[in-house]
Amino acid sequence: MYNKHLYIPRACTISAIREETPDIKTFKLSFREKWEMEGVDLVEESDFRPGQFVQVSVLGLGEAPISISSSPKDRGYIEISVKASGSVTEGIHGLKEGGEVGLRGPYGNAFPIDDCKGKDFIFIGGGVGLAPLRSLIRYVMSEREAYGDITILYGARSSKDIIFREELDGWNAVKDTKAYYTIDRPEPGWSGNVGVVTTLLKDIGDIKGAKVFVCGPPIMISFALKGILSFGARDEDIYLSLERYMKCGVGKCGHCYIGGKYACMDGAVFSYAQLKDMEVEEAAGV
Amino acid sequence: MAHERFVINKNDIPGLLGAIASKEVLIAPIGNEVGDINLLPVSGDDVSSVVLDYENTINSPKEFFHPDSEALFRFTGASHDDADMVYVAEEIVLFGVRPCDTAALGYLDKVFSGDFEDELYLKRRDKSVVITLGCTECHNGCFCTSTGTGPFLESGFDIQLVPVATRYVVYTGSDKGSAFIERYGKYFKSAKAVDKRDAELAVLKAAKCPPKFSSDKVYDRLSSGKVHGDLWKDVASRCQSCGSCLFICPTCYCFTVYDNERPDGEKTRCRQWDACYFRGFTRMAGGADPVGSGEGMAKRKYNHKLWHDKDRFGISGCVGCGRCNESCVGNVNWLENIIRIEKS
Repeated sequence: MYNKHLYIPRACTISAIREETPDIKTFKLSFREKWEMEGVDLVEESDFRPGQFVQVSVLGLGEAPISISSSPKDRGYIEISVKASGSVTEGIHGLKEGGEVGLRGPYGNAFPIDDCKGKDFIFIGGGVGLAPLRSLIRYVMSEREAYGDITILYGARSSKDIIFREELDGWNAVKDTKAYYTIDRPEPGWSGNVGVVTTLLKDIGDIKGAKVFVCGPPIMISFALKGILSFGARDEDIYLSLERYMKCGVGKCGHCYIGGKYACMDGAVFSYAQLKDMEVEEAAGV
Repeated sequence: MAHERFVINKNDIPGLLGAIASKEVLIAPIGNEVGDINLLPVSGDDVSSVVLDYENTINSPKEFFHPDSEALFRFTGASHDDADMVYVAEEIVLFGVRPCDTAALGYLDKVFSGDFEDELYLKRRDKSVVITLGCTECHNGCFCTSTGTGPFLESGFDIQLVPVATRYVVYTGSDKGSAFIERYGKYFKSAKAVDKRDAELAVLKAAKCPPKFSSDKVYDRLSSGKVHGDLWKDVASRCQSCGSCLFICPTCYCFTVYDNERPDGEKTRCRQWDACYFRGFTRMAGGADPVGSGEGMAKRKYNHKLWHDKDRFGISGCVGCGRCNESCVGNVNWLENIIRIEKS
């Protein structure tokens, strides 16, 4: 754990801030001292698995669960991409370089990368939902030869709302890797794709056997699922990273309860086959 | 562990309670002027107001281990690294807890341990001795014989008292329980064969209290996913989202977390009981709410306690105390609804 005590976050320094969009910023967080987690020096390793999240704390405001958007191979720091949408996330946006946030975690399960060697990957992201996927994408790109074809599909509301745009273009230039992005409505001066992210599915070709990773707002998830299933993806090959309201992150506070599981411990990554098996109270987005 | 057996005369109980209250924090059922009985701290002068012939206390022992509100840590400076814990865990003796409530503590022990140990709760539990008072009569409002949590416990207690005529036969069930008997040895005598026989008869007689439903059948119905949606609609139409059934429940543990600054300047991050029947329990900052409807919330509660908890912990999340039926202002009857589920 980054934190010494279950509920007391560990102080981290904001070593860089990048404005991705008008309401999304990426924060680079650096550990302040040598801190060993299960024998691993975090300053050297930043030990976590793609798909995990941290509870990010601002004293006086509280905590919010945020996915780690950097790769475990980006050592000595982690990055989080935060959309200002509530009191804590707005508070985080108000912080400056050199400032402090507290971290608890890393929490949650992770994307099942160990089972995915040699497979084709399809990533479908919407809005800030690209952040947890970016962690896995960066990880996979760092050992690119171990995987098959990679397709990244990303949708944003408008051209201003696209995150990691340079990285998307960079990934698109890599061999056997395609990265497409689209905006919801036409804009003057925009010659790229227009329409919701599922309109990009037509470009992906044969997806049989591919591992599909999805993260985004509930409405986007439901359309992405319909789309990807119609192209022949298998339930057990589709992984969703769910967003849920969380307070503790450690399976005690009850807020992220979903069909007998806790999104904070049993998720936030679930396969679509798993979710279909669960008697979910209401199926918003899944 | 093997149970040891002792005997204490009912007449000696005030003396024992006085001795406990003079040395430790004693929590016991106290009656008030309108006849309500609550588990409350008892001072040495107060032991005469302790009542031991009650159905159950209005509050459950939950609040002594998982308080309705408490500080997780205090922060004085601007850095998280300056934060410190401020919780209090005293040595306490809870005397006269009904078996259903002792079983509920066993349930909460599972929730607050596991991969992530909640030190605040577990320290308090470690420092407590819970003395369970078994039930010799069936009560209308409760249903422990349906949930397997009474009228006497087979395990999971520190000490269990079996009322027999003018005495209690006392069973120890943990090291903490044995240490307690040693501490107050002068009030207890070793049990004889006749005490053992009388106690076993009392336990057998009480166990005949007929169950009101089969929890296995209810589990099967819920896990089949085929319970008719009308039931959730009925609950939702009556539920006022007040949360009383969940706050008063001895097993409900949900909490929210918030930062607080007191007028004297002390800043803390606190937790406070929360309720899954409150609107907004699952609503996220962006406005999306995966369980926003009353029906969804109702279904989640019944599924959680009567189905998912059995999968997760091997025990029912409902211990059959019946408090939620008493507290509901909308007249939602948990027990009747469980029976509807069983018969559906």
